[in-house]
Amino acid sequence: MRENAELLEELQETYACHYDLTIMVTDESGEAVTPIKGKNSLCNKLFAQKHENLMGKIKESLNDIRTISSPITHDLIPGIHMIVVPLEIPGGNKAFLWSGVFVEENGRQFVIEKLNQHVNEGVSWECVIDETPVLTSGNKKEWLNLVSKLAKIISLCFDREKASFDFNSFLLQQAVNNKTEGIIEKLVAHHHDHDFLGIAEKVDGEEYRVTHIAGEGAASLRGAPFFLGEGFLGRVLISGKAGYWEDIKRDPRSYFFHRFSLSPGALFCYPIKRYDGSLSLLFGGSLSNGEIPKGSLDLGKALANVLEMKLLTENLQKENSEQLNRLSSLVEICKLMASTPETKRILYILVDISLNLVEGPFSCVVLKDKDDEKAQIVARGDMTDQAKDYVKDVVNRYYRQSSKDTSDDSLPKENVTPWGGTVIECPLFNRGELLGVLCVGVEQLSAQQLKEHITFLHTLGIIGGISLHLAKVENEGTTSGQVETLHKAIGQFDEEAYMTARESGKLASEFALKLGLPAPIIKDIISACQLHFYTGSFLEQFFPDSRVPWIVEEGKMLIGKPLQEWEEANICSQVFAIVFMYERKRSIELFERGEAAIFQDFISFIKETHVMEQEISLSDDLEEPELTSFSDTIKEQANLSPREQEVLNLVIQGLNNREIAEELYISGHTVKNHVTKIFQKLDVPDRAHAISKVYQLKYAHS
Amino acid sequence: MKKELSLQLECTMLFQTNPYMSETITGIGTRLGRKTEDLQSIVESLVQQGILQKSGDEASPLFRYKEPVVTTELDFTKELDRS
Repeated sequence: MRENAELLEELQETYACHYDLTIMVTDESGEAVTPIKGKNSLCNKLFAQKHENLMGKIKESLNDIRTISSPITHDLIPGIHMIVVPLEIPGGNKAFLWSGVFVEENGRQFVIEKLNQHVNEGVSWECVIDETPVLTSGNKKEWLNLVSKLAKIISLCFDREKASFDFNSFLLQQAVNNKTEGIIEKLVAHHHDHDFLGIAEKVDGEEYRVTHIAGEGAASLRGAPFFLGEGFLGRVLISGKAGYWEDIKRDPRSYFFHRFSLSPGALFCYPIKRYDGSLSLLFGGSLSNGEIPKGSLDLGKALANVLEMKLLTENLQKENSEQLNRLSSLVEICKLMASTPETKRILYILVDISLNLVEGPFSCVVLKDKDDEKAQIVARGDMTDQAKDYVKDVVNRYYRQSSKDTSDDSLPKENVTPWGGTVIECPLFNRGELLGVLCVGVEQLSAQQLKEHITFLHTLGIIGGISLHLAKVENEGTTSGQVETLHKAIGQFDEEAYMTARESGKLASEFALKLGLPAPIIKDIISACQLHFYTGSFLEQFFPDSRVPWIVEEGKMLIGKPLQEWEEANICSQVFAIVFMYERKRSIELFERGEAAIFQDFISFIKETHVMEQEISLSDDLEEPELTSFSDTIKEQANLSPREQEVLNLVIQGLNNREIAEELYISGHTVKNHVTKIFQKLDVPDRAHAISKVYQLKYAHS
Repeated sequence: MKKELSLQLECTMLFQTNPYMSETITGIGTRLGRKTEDLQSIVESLVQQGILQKSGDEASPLFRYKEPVVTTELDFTKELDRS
């Protein structure tokens, strides 16, 4: 801008001297926007006069000629003219170039008289008028052309200023929209006061590095490291305030630049505050001069401010997008958990999602039933051989120390595993009830990352707690709750029957486990034993979709039948019947003559003095095998035909021959043939052993 | 949070919803409506984490969900009582 102003003055001066004129530029109100240049005597004297002051006349006249679009001659004082040319300047404003004054060819005497009359201040107006250019009808056009040309050149000067203005605005726009590297390069290329410009950012701890650099010969600075407090740049990092140093070529603080073959004469440095509280730096300098003009320093400061805002905006945008990502991920996780009624699947989701998030060495959920002294872990990853010690510690801290769902207790905590790893522990609460603890191993995380993970895991833990509770209610609350109520009701009017039910349930559970029956079947057998007091048809009202009423019905029927006729009965009913027969007499003599293998199994079971206490817990639900998953295994190993496979699947589900015949639309005789062949192929004597063998194979395979 | 985490979660959840599914990268891409090249590193990372199991031929491997390990009935009551 300053360069343009100088050029403009030079132009005015040159033209004015050459043509004996005085030249100036005013705005629309007549205020001079450039210095008045030239030695037109009459003009300058009239500017200096109080009476008939030329500046006053110019301002007045603008009321009439403001709208002119081409050069005109205008008589400011009768007989005295100036040429006025309109100028377009940046910002849409109008300016006027004034050149003069001229005296009218025929009005010379009139002017002298007038001036002597009105402005008689000891001036010899006659002499002055003699020196004043004369405006004739012949030279008027020539003068107008001459001044028009000057106006055009002046307009170009304004345009250059405009271009310069646009560049600064463009630069700031680029700073907001484009890459930092490109911006500092453009600035260095267009502003010769800056020989180099750079940006330094924090690397780690107290170490900083030059991350961007522009300027001829300054490329060696790229990647240059320095520390807090080191040299000029390091000092700005400590003070947090901008710095400007002149004549520093021999200053020892310039050593940092000297190391990279750069010897600045002047240097400026502006701190840029980052979103995380750290500082970056914008620095620049002149290699040739010992000082930098104020305008260029101001531009650097403006750029630093824009960069600060730009980085802040970028950080906020990034954080916003991350928050949205988190939120949408949590929504998806919620949807998945809400559509998952199984406890097992919810635990898998918790373990997998937390591992996805943290990418640590392991993730697990530790579970413990309040009435049980055993813990269970669903885990993924490497927990080393000290996993048991760690689980013991978790149970001790969370289940033994009466954790409540207070805001503090429900918050995830950072802890250390026995093998020295870091772990985030997130208790899974639902209305004060602790349903498990999600433990996620972490590795080498910054404080910020750890904080983010803890926040996410906290939310995941809350969703997990609620989902586990809902699954529990859905899975157990309905059927199991009703079984428990009906079972306890027996105790109100028949204490002995209640005790029998309880004991037989326990015995049936142990025997069924020994037979290797799957958890859901065992659960139904226990329920049937607990409810044996009721008739099958009565229970049917409460459990229409369960096999419990049917086990009670068929089991009671079996009790009265000869032992040899049991073969075709369902395994559940067989266990039910055998347990109640035993409970009545508390003797195994009854079964001594039984041919069916199940009796032999029961005898050996009873004879075993050591009875392991085993609970049916959540673990059994978790371990519930999938029928479809073991079909292929059995098929391959026992060489079963597809039909035999179908029959075996139904045997496993507890169906007797008649039911299988109905299910497969074949005769009972055919079913019997299939069953016999299956027993032969599996090398087992009966149904119970067949089921047991299938599960043995399944576990061996898995 | 990592940029690709949401896609990783999406992929994990697809396999959790379909635990018996065995699928190629292209198949996973079709199911999720994502580009195969975006999924490549994600699926490999899930294999690293042990969430997915890789099988089949090298040229077009199949991926399926690997269930977490369930350890049941860790009984340490007595040890706890003593402590």
